[in-house]
Parts: sequence; structure tokens; C-alpha cells
Amino acid sequence: MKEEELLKKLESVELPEIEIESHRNWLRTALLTTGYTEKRWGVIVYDSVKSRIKAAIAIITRGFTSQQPVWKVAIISICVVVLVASGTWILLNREWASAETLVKLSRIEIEALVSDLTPGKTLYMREQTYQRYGPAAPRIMEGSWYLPESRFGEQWLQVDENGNFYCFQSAVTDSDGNVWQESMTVDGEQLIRSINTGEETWSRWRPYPVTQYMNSALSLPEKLLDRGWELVGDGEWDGRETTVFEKHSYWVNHGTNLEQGYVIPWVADLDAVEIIFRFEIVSDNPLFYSEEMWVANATGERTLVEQHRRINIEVLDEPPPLELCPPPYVIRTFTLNDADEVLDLESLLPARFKRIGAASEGLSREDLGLDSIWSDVVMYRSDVTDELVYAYLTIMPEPADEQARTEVIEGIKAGAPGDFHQSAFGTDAVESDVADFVRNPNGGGYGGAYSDDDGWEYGNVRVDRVFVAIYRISQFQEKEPLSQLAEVIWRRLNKFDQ
Amino acid sequence: MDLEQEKKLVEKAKNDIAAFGEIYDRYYPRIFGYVLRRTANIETAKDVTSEVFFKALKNIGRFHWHDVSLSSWLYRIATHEIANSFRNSKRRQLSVERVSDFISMSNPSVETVLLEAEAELKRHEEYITLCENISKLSIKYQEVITLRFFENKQIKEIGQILGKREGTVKSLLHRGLKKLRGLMEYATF
Repeated sequence: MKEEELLKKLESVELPEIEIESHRNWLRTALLTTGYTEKRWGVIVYDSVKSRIKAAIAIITRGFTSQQPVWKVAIISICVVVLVASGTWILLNREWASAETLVKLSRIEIEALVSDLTPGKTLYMREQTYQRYGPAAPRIMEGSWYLPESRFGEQWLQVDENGNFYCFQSAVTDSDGNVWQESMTVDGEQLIRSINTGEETWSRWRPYPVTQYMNSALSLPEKLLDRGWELVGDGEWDGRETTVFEKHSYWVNHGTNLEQGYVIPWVADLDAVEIIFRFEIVSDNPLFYSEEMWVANATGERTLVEQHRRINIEVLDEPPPLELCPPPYVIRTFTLNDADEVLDLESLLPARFKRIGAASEGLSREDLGLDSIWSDVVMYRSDVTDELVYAYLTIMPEPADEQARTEVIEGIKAGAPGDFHQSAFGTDAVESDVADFVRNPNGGGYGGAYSDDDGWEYGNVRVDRVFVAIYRISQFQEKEPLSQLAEVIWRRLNKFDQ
Repeated sequence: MDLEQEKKLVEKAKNDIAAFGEIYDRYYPRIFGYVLRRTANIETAKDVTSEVFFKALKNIGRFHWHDVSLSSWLYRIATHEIANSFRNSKRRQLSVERVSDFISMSNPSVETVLLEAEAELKRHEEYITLCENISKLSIKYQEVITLRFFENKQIKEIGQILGKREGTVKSLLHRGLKKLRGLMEYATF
């Protein structure tokens, strides 16, 4: 190969651009709850050494004192590895033989399910739960990536001719008792409807082919073994035979950081020296499983922390209750003409607010110095003196460059009176917020609200390239947070393609 | 964000965890991407990226701008961690991962996401083949070649990341490419 050819290949090769959102979110939380900045370096190292020694002693001690035969087997296995290679070979082969049998069985069962899933038939799931347990539960932080405990009721999925699920309906009850219904349309879009309030939110999940779903479950035991999970034995669940897999991790600490360990907020108070991930799969149907996380302390005592269960998946002859499926919905691309709909705050503001023409108040788009990339200003005035809410939005040009950033900042400045510039806009909070938006022009939603001492509030919402600015001036003490308006606007924007 | 803003952010992050969060948001995709392109392994990329940011958090108080930029510093940590990962791959403990995640038909479990990501990775056959050949080189050659071609870094920045002089980087790059060319003679695309 010539040098030029190699250089061309290196420069033109298509590189993978993959992101694991769950890892990104998890790591962010773990980092931001470490408390590193509150501790001195020496203390951290000391904690680290202490924790490691403690963990090592606990593991060794437990191996020889535990009443659980699994642990004895594990420790004995380690000894066998060290001392008798042939013994290890026999032990491992016995486990693999069992796994292979299981894989074969599961493949047959799932293939049977897939072949049965012809158009008109329905995949039915009785229940699906996500629960947290014990002292860990309150430790789980609230945040967009932490979904509440939930219980899915019945779910139906019908398969179209292309092998995609096209109707999906379920009731989800979160830990606050709110009931939500989730549906998927012909286009693979998803509608989340609050049963309590009737509020609807569209979101854009890509269509999920049934074959992909089945494939992810196909040979699940084999995949777990490939990933370093251990086959630890048989179990029983709901009268059905199960196979139990575990993965052990010792990278856990005791409330402070190990040098090579992570603080996990939901195990921080449990004196954990080990985390055990546990997969219990119904032997003849891997679509029916329980996924759990346990922690163990230095004496080997285990505490269940999280549990996911999928229960009773089967294929039915009858179609799903079609009246529960939403009609086909085609997502439109958002334009400035949709601004009025998105910024309609009439139903969200207290009754004292009435919509007025911004132009009549000298606050039209032109008056504010906003050019054609901005919407008209939508304005509400209350019957309380000087109480005003107004908002406008823009669709950013292609990936936000420096010019676009300047335009947005100047546009926001234009929307506020002079003293607001000095008292609120000049603060780092607002400035960095705008910068954050510009940094991540193709990211997901983002909202924030800021206020100053003079009764001014500024909020923003971003969904991809659409950026909304909301302002309120009020001396009224009992006002609703601007962030609530921002959240509703954010949901409305998600109905559109940007 | 320009250099001055980034400097301010770093100073703030020394005492303010939220500011470190901003750094994380800005650099996670780049670092994860770099590690993934070096290792061609999703699990390893997750573990190594976690290590990089924990080390960055731990050491940000000792970070000074006169040495390297923040970006180069993070790439430097990542480069060290990748090398460690290669060295320790056989005895490396699995890192903590949150297996449980919200499972629904439209929002598959973490295991499923990983399987899909692995499938996506395998789709880049040309890259995989290239990567396999690069991985046969010494780590020092792997580092310069991937930083130059996969991360589009200039020689000067590669020098900053690796703590080597520009002349040394050029020399490593030249020799690395020559060796890679030899390996590629037998590779098929």
C-alpha cells in the first residue's frame, strides 16, 4: 500500500459516533454527588486505602464464612484456578453446558414467539414494574434522568407488515400516584397523556422494530455470559423455573470516594463493599425476567436496591383495543408561524391576565429591535399594576456560531429595560446559560428561570434550534414560578420537528 | 465558549461542582468518542471515560493553564487511562454500571442499548479493520496516529497531550504510519 493510499484511508474512514445516554447521565450524577471538592486530597487518599483494605478483607472473609453456597463455590473455584487447571476446565465446562442448554431453549421459545407475531396478532405484557427498595430509595435524586418508581399496567403491541410495533398502550403509575398513558402511533411517534389532567405530550422515539426487540432478548443468557456475568444457579419465580446470573462489582465506596471507585448516591449510606447485579430469567422465556441491583456490606448482608420486572409476555390472537391507540400523527417542522400556538399562555396564567397587543404597548418586535429571525412578541397584562408577562422565540440558524450567539444575546437584552441589563442580565448565571445553549445547539430540551430583586424574571426554553425567551415583571408576591410556564412551552415544542 | 470563558470556568470548577458539571457536559462526548475510537469497545469506553472524569474532578484543583489547555489535559488523562486499560485488560474489574434502567418498549433497557451500540460499532467495518491494525502497533504509535487522524489534532496539540516535543511527535507519526502501512499490506478492505 502506498503512503498516499493509507493517508487517504485514515482521513476518509467513517468513524463511529456513538453515545450511551444512560452512561452519560449516570456518570454526571455520580461525579456531581461525590463531594470531592469538599474534601482535602489527603483525606480522600486515606479513605480510599481504608476502604480498599476493608473491601478486600470482607470479600475473603465472606468467602469462607458465608452460609451461601454460591460464595463457597466461587472461592473454591478461585482456588481451583490457581492450583488445578484441569479442575477449572471441568467446572467452567459444566457451567457452559448448562448455559448452552438454556440458550437453545430460549432461542426456540423466542423464535416461536416471533414466528407467531404475524400482522393482526398482538404481543401482550401483563405488567412491568420498576421499584426501589429500603434505605436506598430516598437517596435517589430527582432529575430528568431518574424516572420515578413506576408500574406499567397492561401493554399491547401490534406488529405491522414491516415488523414494527405500531400500537402501544399502557398505564403507568408513578411514585406520586400520577397515572400516565403511553401510546405509539403508526409513525412510531409516542404520545404521553396524563390520565389525571388530560395533558398530552408528544415525543419522538424512533420506531422500534419487533425483530430488534426480540433480538435483544434472543440469546440473552449467552450475551450475559459474554459480558462477564456468572451463571449462579436455578431459581423459581411465579411457579416457573428460572436461571440466575450475577455480576459482582467491588468498585463501590462508603460515602466518600475511592481512588478507583464511584460514589453512587443510592448506595452511599449502606456501607456497601460490593454491588451485585442480578438477572433472573424464566428459563423457557427470556422475555420474562427480573433485573435487580443489590448491595452487600462487609458482613455479607445483602440489600435489594432496585428491581425491574417484566411479567407474563405472550402472543394473543386478538388485536389490541384499538380505541386506545392514537390516530396517526405526522410531526410538522416547527416554523415561526407556530410561535403563537406555542406561546399561548392564556390558560396557564391566572385569570387576572389578559392578552394584549405588544405593539400597542410599544413592545412590538420592531420596537425591541428584533430582526426577522424572531417571532412576534406575545404579551399578557394583569389587572395588578405593572404586572406583565411576555415571550418570544427564535429558530436558530444552522449550528449556532458566534454570530448566532450574539444575535440571541442581543435579542434577549433588547427584550428587557436598561436596569434589567445591569441587575440581572449581567450576572454569570444568565450569561453562562446562554452560552450553554449555544454550546449545545443540537441538544435536547433545556429551561431555566432567573430573577432579580426588582421583580423581574427571565426564563428560557430550548428544544434543539428553537429558543424561547420569557419575561415577567411583577411586584405581586404570590406569583407562580416562571419555570412552570417554561416547562409547558418545552412540552409544546416537542410536538414539532425542529 | 472562548479561552477566557473556559479559564474562568475551570477556576470556578475548583470550588464549585456545578461548574465541573459544565466542563463535563462540554467534554464528555469528545472524550467518550476518543476512547471509543481508540478501544473499539463500548464497555471499555464507558469504564475508561468514567475514570477520566473522576480523575479530572480529583485533580482539577491542581490544573494550571500555563502547561496545557483543558481539552489537552483531558485528552492526556484519557490517553493514560487507555494505556492502563490495555495493560490491565485481563485483570480489570468490571466497573459499576447501572444495569437497571427504565424499561419500556420504546425505551429499552441498558443491556439493549449496549447491544444496539455494539451493532452500530460493528457496522463501521472499514474503521474496525483499520483499528485492528493500529492496535497491533506499539501504544506510542497508536496514540499519535489516532490523535492525528481520528481526533483531527494538530501536531502541536498532540505534543501537549502526550507531553512530547513536536519533533518527537512528527517522528513517531512518520514511523507509526510506516509500520501501519506494512501491516495494511495484508489487510483487506
